[in-house]
Amino acid sequence: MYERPRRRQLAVLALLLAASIVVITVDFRQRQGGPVDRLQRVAIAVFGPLQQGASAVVRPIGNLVGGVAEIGSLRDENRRLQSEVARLQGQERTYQDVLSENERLRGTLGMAKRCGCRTVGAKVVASSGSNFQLSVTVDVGARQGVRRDMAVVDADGLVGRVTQATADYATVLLITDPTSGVAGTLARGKAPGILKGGGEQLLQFQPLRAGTEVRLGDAVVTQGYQGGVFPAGLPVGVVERVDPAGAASLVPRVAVRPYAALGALDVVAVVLDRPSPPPRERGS
Amino acid sequence: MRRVFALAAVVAAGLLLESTVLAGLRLAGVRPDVLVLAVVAVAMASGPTSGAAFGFSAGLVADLLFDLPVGVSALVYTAVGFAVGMVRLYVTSPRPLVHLALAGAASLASVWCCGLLLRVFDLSSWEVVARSGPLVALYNLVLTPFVYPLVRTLAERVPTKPVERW
Repeated sequence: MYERPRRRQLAVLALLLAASIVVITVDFRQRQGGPVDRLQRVAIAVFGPLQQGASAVVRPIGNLVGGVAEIGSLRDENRRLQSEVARLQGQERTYQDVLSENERLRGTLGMAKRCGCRTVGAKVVASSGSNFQLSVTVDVGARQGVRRDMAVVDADGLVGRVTQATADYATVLLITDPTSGVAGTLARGKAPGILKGGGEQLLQFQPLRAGTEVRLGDAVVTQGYQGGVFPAGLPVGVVERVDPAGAASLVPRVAVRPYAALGALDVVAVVLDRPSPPPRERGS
Repeated sequence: MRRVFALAAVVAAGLLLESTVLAGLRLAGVRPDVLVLAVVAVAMASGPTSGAAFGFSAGLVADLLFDLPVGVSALVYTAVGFAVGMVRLYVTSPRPLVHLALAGAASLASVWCCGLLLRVFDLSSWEVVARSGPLVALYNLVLTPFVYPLVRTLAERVPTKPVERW
């Protein structure tokens, strides 16, 4: 029940599908430094300024409508959001906005000071338009010393890590992305574990040791290790739900709500210092 | 050349919309996918070859910009553009519901196919894939009355071959 394809049409389709598969293969084989990686940098460099301009124009609208749209799923924050929406309704990007941005910037710098790291402040200019990847674009890049795999924080906690950096822009993968994994530890008891994103608002904390005791309200912070991405001690989130260990799993299933306002990121800081790499073995 | 510029502007506008305005309008964790609506509109206006070519270009740029595995969206949008271009002969009804159903089905197929490929590469979970498809399709249905006629009219007004003038 469709139009009979002509030979030329099928040839074009086959060519385009083959080209897509070749691109996927090249991208996976040479993730860093390959031709696709270079094309990606060009795309971000070209679209970065456009996104920055568009974002400056539409951010107040997006924040307002976005705030309204999420009220249903954030009942416990209903009151706070409504007051936020009411505040946004009456404001354009004026003196009050600049003041509050300054405050967030100070908070972000305060967060960076907690780990004693060098940082560079950045503004979020765009979010990923994909439904399968949670990332943001920030307005700092290699010129400001930003490199791949650097940690990113906001005033409240860990935001994610840099996955791509051009001269003036960088892409930051959020900790809630399904492909994100962070070495974390419970602030109380120092029990180590892995924090994994699930594409939703909450993170999953998987303790590494069976019998780990986790309580509601426990804080989770990053665990630093040589060669890792994140400096130790950055606040990540708070335990919101605990499903005790049972027959299906030796360790409890723990849901962690991130401290960082990942749904409404505005000002962040890229941590320029990374845990030092592991010493090379002699002879290697 | 005018057509290339016009369709490139559609892709650029779609990507800017998705990464700025629509990124802040997530419902239940998903965002609408206006690019697939644009692919459907171009394929309905210009046929399978143009639909596939536009889908490939739009998907490729989206993959590059959104830091996805490059080629995944290009592959899926190419298939969607071609398939919609093939069935357009049978979508002769001017009733908006028919076109809405087509846009919804294409959105669902696009998200599920993208999700399936990402799942194969272990970059997504079954739960996210299953949940995203219907939600994005519903979200896209809301945007279809605005995006679809606009892009389709543009694609029809800027023909593939230049008009011969005497």
